[in-house]
Amino acid sequence: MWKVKAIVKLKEGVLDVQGRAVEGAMKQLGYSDAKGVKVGKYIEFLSDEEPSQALLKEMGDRLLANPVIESVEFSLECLASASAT
Amino acid sequence: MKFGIVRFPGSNCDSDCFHVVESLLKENAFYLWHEEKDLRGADCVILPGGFAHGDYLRTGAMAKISPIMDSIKTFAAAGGPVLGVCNGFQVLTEAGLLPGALLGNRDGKFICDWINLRVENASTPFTSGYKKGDVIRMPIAHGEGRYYLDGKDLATLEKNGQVVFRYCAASGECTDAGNPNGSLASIAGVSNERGNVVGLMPHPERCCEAALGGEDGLGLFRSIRNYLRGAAPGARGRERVKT
Repeated sequence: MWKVKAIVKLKEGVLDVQGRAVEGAMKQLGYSDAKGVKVGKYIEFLSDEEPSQALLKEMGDRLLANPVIESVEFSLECLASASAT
Repeated sequence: MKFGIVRFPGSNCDSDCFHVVESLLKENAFYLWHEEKDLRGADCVILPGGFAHGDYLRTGAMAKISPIMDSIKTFAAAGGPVLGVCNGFQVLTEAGLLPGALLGNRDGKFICDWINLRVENASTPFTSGYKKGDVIRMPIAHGEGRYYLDGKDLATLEKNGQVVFRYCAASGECTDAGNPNGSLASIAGVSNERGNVVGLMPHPERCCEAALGGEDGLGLFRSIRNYLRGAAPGARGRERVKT
């Protein structure tokens, strides 16, 4: 069993309005050193088989991210399986 | 003439489009549920505004894989006229039927207000009733209307004449102040290369009656009715159609 983790972010050059708003709020709270705040999305799902890079890219392009404005990074975690021999 | 108005779970501007088509254009409108695969002989397909699938994941992201979208893609590929208003425009960009993407408004706020639009392309089936350069007034109501496209794709879009409407000041000049949401190049509406699929963020269906504050949206609906009745877009210049 695999856990797939995806982080979706706006591409460089695309104005991140949420990130800018959060950065303003952080400064207001006194965290003046925080800059370049980006707000993205985290998606995770389980998979019986280890997904290939090609399959993950396809999932990213077709649904999980909008390739016009977003990039997606995947990481995999192998979960201990009770039925593993 | 038959207008198929698509309903996704969360669409909410469908009945306004229905009202314009039936009561003002005096044509036949019917609803198409997003799970239907048959467009039931629609001559024109409208994707109305709203919040299809609650804008979950991304606005339009889930709607693009609704069963009806395959039929709409086939219809559009054959030259059928398709109009996407607001959320409908977002769905069409996600579905790849129109270029670009719509992002959250520049100032982080949902804007519900009248804006000015400049007609950039009066040759589409939806804009032949206007003249290029016309400045019209339409309401917007959106939180994610900022149009974005990669630099080189934008150049192609402009070169092909695919920009249909731009936000502008009342004078017709494209200024920052006249751009409510930070859309790239003040773009408010685009078409596909062929010109039969048009999407715009403003709501033409909300300004077809003087009682609602303006009638500039009527031109868009009259244009498509003209087109469907066989008058080629722009062929006879700017023609006023009597209802």
